Amino acid sequence: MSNDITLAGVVWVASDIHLGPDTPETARAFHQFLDQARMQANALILCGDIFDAWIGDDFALRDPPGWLACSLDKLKRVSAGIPLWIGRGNRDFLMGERLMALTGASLLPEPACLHTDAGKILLTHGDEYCTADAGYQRFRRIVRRPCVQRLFLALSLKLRRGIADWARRRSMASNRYKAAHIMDVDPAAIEQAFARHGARTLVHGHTHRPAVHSLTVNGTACTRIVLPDWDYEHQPARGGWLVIGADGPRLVQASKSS
Amino acid sequence: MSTTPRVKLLTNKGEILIELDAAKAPKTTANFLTYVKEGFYDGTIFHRVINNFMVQGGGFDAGMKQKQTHAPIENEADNGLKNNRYTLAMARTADPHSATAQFFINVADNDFLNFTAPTPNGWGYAVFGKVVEGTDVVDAIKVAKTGNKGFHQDVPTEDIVIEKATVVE
Repeated sequence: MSNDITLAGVVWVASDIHLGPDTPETARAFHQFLDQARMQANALILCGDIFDAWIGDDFALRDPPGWLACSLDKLKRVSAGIPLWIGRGNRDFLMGERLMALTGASLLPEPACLHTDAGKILLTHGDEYCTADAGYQRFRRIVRRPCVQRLFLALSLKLRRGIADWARRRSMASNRYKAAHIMDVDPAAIEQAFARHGARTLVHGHTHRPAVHSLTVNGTACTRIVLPDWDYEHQPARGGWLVIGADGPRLVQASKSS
Repeated sequence: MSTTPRVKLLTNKGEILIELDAAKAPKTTANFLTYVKEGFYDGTIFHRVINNFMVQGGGFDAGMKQKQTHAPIENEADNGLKNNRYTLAMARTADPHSATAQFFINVADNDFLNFTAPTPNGWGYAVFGKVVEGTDVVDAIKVAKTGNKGFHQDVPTEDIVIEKATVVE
């Protein structure tokens, strides 16, 4: 699969919405965002952790709970109007082709190399750059294996849910004792990504540390943009997205859905 | 009363000195001082800590039990003060005029929290003071390790306690 995507016009990018059964306000804000994207953007990319957990596409296809059904419906409406890409995160990496078919989205390549009106932009979820977290990278390598995924998806939904809950509790317990720098991206991994892909702009989510960082790689001025995570269940709320247009990328943060 | 009263927050991470803006946020300042003088904040914790965003406290005790407050106050976010780094603003629910005791310290320039219009979506969060000493203490709090506790996210795993809040004469 080619990693290149050519996009003309205004592109919106969001990640880390972490939708689940207990996030009604965040879902509401996200649905309004999708309506807005449909009207104002020429393409929408959601690059990972849209869902707080994903235990298989069959879960979404077969009798989805209300909150999920509503989100899927909104995504369908987006893809009926503009191109929609969905990328995998570290929470919803089991999203697959069946979900794409259902929502009318295309699966985002990893990494995606966007050719936009603002130039070339490298886009990924970002967990692969947290290389200081050796334990997580080991877990990632294992669960990304197709054979492991096939085995997991062959289990009953109940069993899958149990395993997912267990994995999440374990991850939360171990993250408690990890230093802040281990949970962030590794500078060397970022430099390598810039150098390997010859991009000057890198966009990712995952770390929940929204910011625009300027850095120099091999004498070239580069920009690393970190997408915000969404939490509208608590006040002050926060969320946001990136607008990529001819005048360059611009980070939009919002405490309220408009 | 001074138009710039000062309040000292003695925390288990060090001292934070705050200067309030009674000229631009008279009601919010008076409300905050009432809670300080009553000793309401003594023993409360910073219960929502998000690096690159804000640190929020003044509503829960160390057992994550929410404290009984006075009536909510009017939102003074239209006073021109911005939610910039190290400013102090009132927390609230989705209702713009619902702030009681909980406040937060911005640890980034959070433009998106500023007043834009007198509508439910545009009210923003009322800034009423700023940290004048102890920004290093705020910086130490913002990087605290956090986890989930009950329905709450981003709760420091080790309590960050306001041991005493006092008005500095």
